[in-house]
Amino acid sequence: MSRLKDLIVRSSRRKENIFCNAQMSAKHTKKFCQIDSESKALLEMAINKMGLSARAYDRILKVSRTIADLSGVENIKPEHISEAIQYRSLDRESYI
Amino acid sequence: MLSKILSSAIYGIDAYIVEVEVDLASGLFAFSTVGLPDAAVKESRDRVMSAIKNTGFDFPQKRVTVNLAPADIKKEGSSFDLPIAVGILNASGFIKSDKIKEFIILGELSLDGRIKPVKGALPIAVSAKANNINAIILPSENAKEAAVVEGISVYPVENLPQVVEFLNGNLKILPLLIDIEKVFEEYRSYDVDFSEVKGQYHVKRALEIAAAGGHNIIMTGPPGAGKSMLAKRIPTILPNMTLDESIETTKIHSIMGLLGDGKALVSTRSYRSPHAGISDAGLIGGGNFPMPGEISLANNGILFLDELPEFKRNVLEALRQPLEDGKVTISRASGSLTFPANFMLVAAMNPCPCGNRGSQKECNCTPLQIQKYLSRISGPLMDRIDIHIDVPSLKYRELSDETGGEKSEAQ
Repeated sequence: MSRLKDLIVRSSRRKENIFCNAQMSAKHTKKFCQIDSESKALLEMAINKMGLSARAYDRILKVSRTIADLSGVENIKPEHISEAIQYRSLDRESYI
Repeated sequence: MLSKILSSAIYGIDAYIVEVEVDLASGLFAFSTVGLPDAAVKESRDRVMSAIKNTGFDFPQKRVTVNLAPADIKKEGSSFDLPIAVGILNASGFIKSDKIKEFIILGELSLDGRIKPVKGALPIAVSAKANNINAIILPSENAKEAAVVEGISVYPVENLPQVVEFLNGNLKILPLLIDIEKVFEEYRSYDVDFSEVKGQYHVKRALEIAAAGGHNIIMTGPPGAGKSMLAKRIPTILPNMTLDESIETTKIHSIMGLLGDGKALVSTRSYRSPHAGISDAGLIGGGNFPMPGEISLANNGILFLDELPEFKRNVLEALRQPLEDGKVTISRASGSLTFPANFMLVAAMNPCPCGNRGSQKECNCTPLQIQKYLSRISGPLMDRIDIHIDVPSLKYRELSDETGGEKSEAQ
């Protein structure tokens, strides 16, 4: 485990008074959670297949931002998105 | 004879200045308190009378009227005992001081004149500073939390005669000074560590992500898999609290009287785990005069709800708005108050009523039972939980592993 001292929120976000990624508003997600086309396709598939809400979409973006931050990269990559998606297992209708 | 003493009372998580006016008029002995006092404030009359008599002063045999201004806000609690007593002693000539108005005075009196701790010393010190009053006389147990506010002289006192002598200038009390940085660091350790949890590496990964981003998380797994144990250790990997966060959380703990003796600041992330029987007012806050609930006590920390489906439906649904907004507004007839509620929700549940689904043990639950169990948690609430993670029961090999996991601090 890593005690997450200051690495989580990059300075650009701290300037906008965000202390953790979960606090990002819609405006901030748009600004800080840019994704490439491959990731977009992945998200689209997840939303259609799992019937995720708009809020869930936003929240997946924020979680993948955190995962990307933890691995120390600037841009969110498809693997970050897919890890974030697989964390929503209880939303899947197949759970029961 | 009229005397005016400044004191203070809590409203929400802030405080306002209360002027305690004491008037002694000639006539038959009577003691009345006006200014919307509640039962605890009204009772102060008996405590004050006994404390004054038992510390060797004479209680004036006159008509005593105590007014708590502003008179249109309801006053609660026992912290007006000391200012009322000081006011009476001032009006009857035992305290001769023109400095008396420079202080905010608060404290509960015991019948023998000792001064007992009160709630909300930190918010009161903050509001004193905002009102340009820079000295407070308060119970010594509360002195440290008030001393956190810079630019305020805090005079800790232990009994009524001490206050009288101090105000008359016969006794010197040094204002309490604390080194905020030092106090802030002092209590910054936790009793638990992540290395105590064996195995469960994928869960630890998910918890790490949740802690890093402040995302809400739910763990499902059979009994004994370590869900509660893992949850208890999440605060140890959260980023250290900043001083501002700490003061905000301390204010709430201070008005609930949960700070504990001698503690000045809440410097570790709070971890609240209310039992499933909690009421909605207990969780989000409430009461005739709104008080903060568990979610506000968990501010800037963790709210852990174990056995999530066992919570009452209306209690869980009440979480929805604060989960989105990071604050909660409680409206009652007496007014509308907003409390901070910036918490990370950690929940735990079994995968089915018997708890064994997905483990080596046999599960006897029917699909209908399972569906009913899971449907106790509504879709909208589930939608607000970002990370769902399975916590399987451990195999013997993992249990007997002596090497231990990674420490909380490791990096």
